[in-house]
Amino acid sequence: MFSYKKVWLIDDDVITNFINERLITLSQFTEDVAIFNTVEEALSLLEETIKTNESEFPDIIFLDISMPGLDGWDFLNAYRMLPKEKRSKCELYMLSSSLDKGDIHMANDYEEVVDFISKPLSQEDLEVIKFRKTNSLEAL
Amino acid sequence: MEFDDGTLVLDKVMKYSLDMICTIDEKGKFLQVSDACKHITGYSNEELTGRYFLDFVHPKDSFNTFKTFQEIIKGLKTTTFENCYVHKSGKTVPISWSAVWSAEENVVFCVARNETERHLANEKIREKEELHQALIKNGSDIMSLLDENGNILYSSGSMFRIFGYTPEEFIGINAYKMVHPDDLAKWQKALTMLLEEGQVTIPEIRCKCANGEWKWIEVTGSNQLQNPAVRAFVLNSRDVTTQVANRQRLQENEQRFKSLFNNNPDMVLYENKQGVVLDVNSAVLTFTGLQKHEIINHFLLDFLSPEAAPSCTRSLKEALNGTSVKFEIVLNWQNKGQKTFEVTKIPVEVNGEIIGVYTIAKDITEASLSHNIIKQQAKKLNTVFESITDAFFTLDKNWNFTYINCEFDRLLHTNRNELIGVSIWEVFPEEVNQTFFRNYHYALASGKVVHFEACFKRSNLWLDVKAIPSEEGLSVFFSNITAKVKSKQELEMLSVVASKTHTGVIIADASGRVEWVNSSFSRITELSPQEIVDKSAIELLTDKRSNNSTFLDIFINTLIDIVQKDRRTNYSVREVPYISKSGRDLWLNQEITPVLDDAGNVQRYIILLTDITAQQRAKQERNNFIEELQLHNQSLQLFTHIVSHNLRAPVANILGLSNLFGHPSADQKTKERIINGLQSSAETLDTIIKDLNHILSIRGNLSKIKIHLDFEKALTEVLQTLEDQVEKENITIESDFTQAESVYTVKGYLNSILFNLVSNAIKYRSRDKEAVIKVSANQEGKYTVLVVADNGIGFEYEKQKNHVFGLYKRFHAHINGKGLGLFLVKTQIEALGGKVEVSSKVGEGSTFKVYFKES
Repeated sequence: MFSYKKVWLIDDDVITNFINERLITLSQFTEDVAIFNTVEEALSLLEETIKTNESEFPDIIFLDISMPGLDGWDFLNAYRMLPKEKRSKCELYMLSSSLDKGDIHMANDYEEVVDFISKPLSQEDLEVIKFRKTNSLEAL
Repeated sequence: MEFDDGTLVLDKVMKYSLDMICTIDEKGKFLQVSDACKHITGYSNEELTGRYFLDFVHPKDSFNTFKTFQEIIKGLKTTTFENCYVHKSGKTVPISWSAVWSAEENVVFCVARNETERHLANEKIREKEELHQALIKNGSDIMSLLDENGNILYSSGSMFRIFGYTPEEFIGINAYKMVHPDDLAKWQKALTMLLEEGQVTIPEIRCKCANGEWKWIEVTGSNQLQNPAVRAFVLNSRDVTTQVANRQRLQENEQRFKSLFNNNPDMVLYENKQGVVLDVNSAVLTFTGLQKHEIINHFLLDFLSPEAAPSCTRSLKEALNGTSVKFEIVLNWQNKGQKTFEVTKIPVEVNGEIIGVYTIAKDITEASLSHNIIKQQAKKLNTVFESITDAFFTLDKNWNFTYINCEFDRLLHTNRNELIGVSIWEVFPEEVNQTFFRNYHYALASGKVVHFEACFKRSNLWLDVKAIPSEEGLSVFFSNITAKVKSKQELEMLSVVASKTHTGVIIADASGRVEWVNSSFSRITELSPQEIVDKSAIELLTDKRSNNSTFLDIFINTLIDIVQKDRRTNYSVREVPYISKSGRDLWLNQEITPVLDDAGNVQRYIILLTDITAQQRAKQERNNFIEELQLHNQSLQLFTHIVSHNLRAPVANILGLSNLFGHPSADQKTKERIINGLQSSAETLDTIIKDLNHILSIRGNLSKIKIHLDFEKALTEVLQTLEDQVEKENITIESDFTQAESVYTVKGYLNSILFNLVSNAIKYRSRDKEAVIKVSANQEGKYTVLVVADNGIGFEYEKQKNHVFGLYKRFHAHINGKGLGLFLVKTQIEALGGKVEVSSKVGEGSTFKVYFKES
């Protein structure tokens, strides 16, 4: 039983993407992982999804902060501009190697961001995500 | 005679008698009164009859009369007595009575006669005798009787009064003993004449007084030797001493007057009330050339020209009114030419009546001429004194004002009319013993001109005074220099400030010409006043070439700025670097204050220079220190950033890969990829640590000291650290430093900048073509510009321009980079006071220009 239908990884680091894809897949967290090396790619697909095929909209997004070109913050700023009903079911996690407290605080200031996760993404992180989702659903 | 007839006769007697006949009874009442009573008493017989006779007696006689009446009625036969009655008209009437008592009839018969006329006659005789006596005794004349030999027989009382002799002293002595020896002949002759002719008059003869004085007497004598009642010479003598003395004095006066009149060099004439000339002196005759008789008894006006006549007539009239008149007259007498006379007319008064006028005419032609000249000169002088702008006054030797001009009044607010003739020290008592007093006294005492400045306290004015002593006293010029003195005092004070201050002071006129510099200016700039004073900006520009002075450059720019560009009327201040003549590096604070006139136009500029080199150095050191601190801080931030992001990233990957390796579901293929990933992450980590080490090593070399650095050498050093990459990627590095071989800057910064730019160019090289990186340098204005151009992939300039030099910005996701390099380049060049610019086109490459500021 997969926890999430569609998982998006947005990170420029190839090794990070490899680790996360493998972990998510092996943990049966989802069966559909999409990897984006740049924010631009991710954003354009997201916008296209809203226009053409809403069912393709991701359930969960792992977003890196530091990226060449547009970075994680740019993505967040664009993301929050999307229609709220379209993205309300999507959970957005910041996933960064940064230990900078400033980054963590800034991430938490975005209500669209569920949590800030420090790399590397671990089995435990996924369990917490799943647990949170289950509990919040139960609460609903 | 019959009784009846007798009665009739008695009646007639009673009726016609001139005497008053009356009978009075024993009680004293009138019984009968004759008609004469009317004439004597004024009362009619009816008014008297039956009245008491005493009622009519004068009160003073009442008592005596009553007593006498009592005696009569006692029978004393007849009594005559006198008393006075009071006439009806009130006047006193003296009456003599004869009364007799008749026992048979018991009446008193009385006859009363009016004695008024007899009384009057008696009175007259007595008066005459008294007068005669008085005349002889008290008269001024002396009556003397002399025998034929001249011996004095008698002399009246005047003798004592006039000569002081008692009768005993002169009775019996011969008169000649009293006569003055010089007059004895006269006396002898008089006696002879008396004998021969019977009378004589000696007008004046001197007689000796008892006290030895001589008195002049006039004697009239008459020979009365033949007169039996007299038998002597009768001499009447009168004291004429005073008259003789007066006459003699008069004679002398007359003589004196005559001589004055005749010998007077001025013309003198006497005219009567009608203006007829009665006398002239010889001067008149000499002047007119006329004979005396030609003038005398002619009207004075006959000799005067018609022009002169009116003033003479008028003055004669005035003189006749009792006042002396003085006037000038111009006469044109025949061939004498025009002559000016000063004429005085003096009234001659005799017994309070003016009987004529003396005229004295003094020829003042010459005096008048010179007087006129003097008058003209005085007038001219007066005009000069009035018109000179200085105040002017003169003092006589007693310090009294003799002249004051109008400027004096204006300056000191005085009224000169009140001051003339008054002592200056009375007018200005507060100045006694003060500056003016001492100077004026010195001038007058020494005869030297004094020139001084002093404060006139009463008006609080500063005066510039020149006092010139002369025969007459002191002439003084003065002018008000209050404003000058005040500004001078102010200037002196300012001058003290300007010369003593450590601030350099330059005063320039409105056109920028230097008027004055103080000693501090020379101390600071090492320029002598001669090098700069009186020179304009243009001249200084010309001089500058030889002087080669940075200061002049600045100064000239300043002058041109303030004078030509905007005619600045505001205060301005700026800090300027300056190299002194001897080559010292200085910083000067330059304040420019324009001095404006009332209309707001610039009059001059005051430029203050303060040596702020020490402050500036301190500031520079502080800035350097801050810069250094900032750099350190920046490095620390960078380090933190690198640790938290870049260094953390491969570590996180290694952790992630390790976790994944232990995952139960991990298959073989995954595990192989994990091993590769671990390898790659370790390499990344190694690169980052190497970069970090490099940055830290640059930071360690950072030094604030600027030196001249050779570009070629610096590039070689940088390329050595990038050697592996350059060789591996087969990159061509071209350099051209012919236009600018070196730069004056901090070595660490230049190396860092060069390293980052070159490694950036390598990083973003194009994969499609051979990479060529061109490094060159040139001079642009005050900048030395380092240019690094590549033919790499480039970027979208418009889109990315804000991010190019941002921290951790990479444009390209496929290129591994930390986004540090360009950030460092920007930070470092800006710290050096320069800037960095970039231009780029996608696919064609990028060009970075780094501007090093030359200072």
